[in-house]
Amino acid sequence: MNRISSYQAAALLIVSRLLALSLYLPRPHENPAITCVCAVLLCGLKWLLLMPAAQLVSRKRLFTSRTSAAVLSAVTALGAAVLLIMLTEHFSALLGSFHPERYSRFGITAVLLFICAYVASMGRQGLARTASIILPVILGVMALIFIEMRGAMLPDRLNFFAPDPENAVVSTFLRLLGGSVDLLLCACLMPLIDCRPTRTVGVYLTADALMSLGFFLMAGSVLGSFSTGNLWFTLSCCTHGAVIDRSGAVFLAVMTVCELLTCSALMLITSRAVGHFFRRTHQSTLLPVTAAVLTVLMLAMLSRNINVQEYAEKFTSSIGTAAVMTMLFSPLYTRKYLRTNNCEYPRKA
Amino acid sequence: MFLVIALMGLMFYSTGRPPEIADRVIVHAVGVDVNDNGYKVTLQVFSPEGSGSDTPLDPSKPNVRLVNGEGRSVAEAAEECRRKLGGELFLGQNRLILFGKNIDLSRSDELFGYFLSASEAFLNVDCATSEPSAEKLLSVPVSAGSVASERFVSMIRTGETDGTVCGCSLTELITDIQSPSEMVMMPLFTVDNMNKDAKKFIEQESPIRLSKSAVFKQGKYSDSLSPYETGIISAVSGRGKYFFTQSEQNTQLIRVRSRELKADEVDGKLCVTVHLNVSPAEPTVGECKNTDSLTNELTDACEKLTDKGYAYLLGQELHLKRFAPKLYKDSPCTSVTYRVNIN
Repeated sequence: MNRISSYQAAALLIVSRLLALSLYLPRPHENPAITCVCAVLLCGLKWLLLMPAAQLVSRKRLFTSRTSAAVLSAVTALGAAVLLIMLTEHFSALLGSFHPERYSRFGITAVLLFICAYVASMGRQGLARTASIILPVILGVMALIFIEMRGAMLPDRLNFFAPDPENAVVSTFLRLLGGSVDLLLCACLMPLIDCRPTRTVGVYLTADALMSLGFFLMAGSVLGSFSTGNLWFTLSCCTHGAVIDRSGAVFLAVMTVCELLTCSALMLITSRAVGHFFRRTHQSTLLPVTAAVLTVLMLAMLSRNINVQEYAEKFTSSIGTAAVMTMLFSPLYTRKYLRTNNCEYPRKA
Repeated sequence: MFLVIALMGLMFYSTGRPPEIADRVIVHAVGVDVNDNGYKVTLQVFSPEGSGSDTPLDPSKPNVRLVNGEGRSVAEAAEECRRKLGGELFLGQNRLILFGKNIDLSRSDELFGYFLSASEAFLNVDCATSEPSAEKLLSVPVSAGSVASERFVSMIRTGETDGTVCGCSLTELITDIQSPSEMVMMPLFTVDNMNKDAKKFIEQESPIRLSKSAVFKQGKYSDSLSPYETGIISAVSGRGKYFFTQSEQNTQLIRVRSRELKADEVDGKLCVTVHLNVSPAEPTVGECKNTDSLTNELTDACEKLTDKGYAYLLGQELHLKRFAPKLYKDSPCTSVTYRVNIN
């Protein structure tokens, strides 16, 4: 009962992808058609990275020495904490931009971190089930908005023109990779999936490709190369349908739910990894402590005027990729460890 | 932990109070004109006029009032309006942005910055031009339910289904004005001379007319297009679904069912063929035009529009980017030939 089903894990990962799409910030005059191609290519790359890792995990249970487990725990905690800070900071910056005089960015971040700790106390099963219940609702709402916006779509606006195509593709690819929180989440969730992690990867990456296609093509056919800040909210400001007169609030609600679930999952990973490192298993105290430590860290960074967003792309992409690479190489390491210690793989329960 | 969250929520968010609905000034339409001081912004704001009944709203009255402000930019002028009104301006109900004919649209930052920075403003709000000025048009007393500016929007929508008007949203306007050709087409509202006694009686016929489209080149007003030309442009460019045919006997409204583009690059020139699958929009009494004559009529119309320098309105830039990106990169204003094929 301590494990989650492959579809529930896929739902949680799809929610995190939806969050990455909603937080995507294009460059001025970025061509959404090129972004769409890059997003699909990125899905292919993720497939290449995650599928072998998923197959290895499904065949062999990972088994490492205590020292390496402690190192892995520390690295995972650090990576998840950095991603958590990036995501909460980005979210609070977006919310704060609507009413800067009313909301303080730090206030939003602090409250969000504690709410995430509270939600994470449900455990991974609770989170995964919530994601699988919420996901159809979110997708239904998005489909309704998509149908409503079809009147404003003009396929002529879609083209692959860019003054400097190579540079545009590379920079867009890196920006999209920078938002891939799902890589770390997937790497951490994979050993906990009940059966067939490959199914999780297959379902979530297919959904990711479809969502990216739908979102960027919709943005491209409605807005062309027009963009003012966040693409998700620019699109929400262009909705004026027959059923929903103003979809901005719906877009915000979808983003908030995705943010809450993703950050709660990251909070859970951080606190569990910290627990493994210090060999403490009391999650009830670890979760609020993690939230408090991250809040203090955020306050310290804000007081020193450190803009987290400047480093977001580099950190998130490298952390995600590193997590998957670890997943890929850990079974090889395990094999070597077992051979040198002259013991066998533990059998799956 | 729940208590901690509740306490933090109270601590951070109990200081600021969101503006009440009564404190908000609901803007229905914005008019922008140019004068000696820079810009003159006219806001048509919601102001309920009760008639002694239980409800504060009297639908037979316009329920709006006008406020003017001046400044070096639209944002400055709107700020003056806000000071005069003494409330928070709310652009979430804004249905229309009207520009005076003498406006220079190329000054994007001064003109559009205010609308882009307001988080509650719609980006696909309708934009139009008014003759002689936006202020005069907005001051015409019209009653149309609870939102007076809905009248203007419904006129644009009706014109679109008549094949005489091609709507222009704020995003389209900004994209077009930032393109190399800086050409924009917007619906043109005009005001007929009003009878002085008109305000005293129940409105019989609105003095507001929407008959032509204004074309801005390099940001400035250059010409007006007839409803026929507007219909052709909207059908060929894909921005509209209706157009009407012109013949000596009668006019016929045609609906575009589907549209497909094909393009060939010949001798450094792009030739775009627009395949339109059409049907009569209304049941016809007389003879329907055959597809060949319709094809000829539309191709001739496109040729005339291209000769007049309005190829951009037919989608020249988008089609160059899509079908001949190298050609566009070398010369963004390369001429494009248009052919129409009716199925």
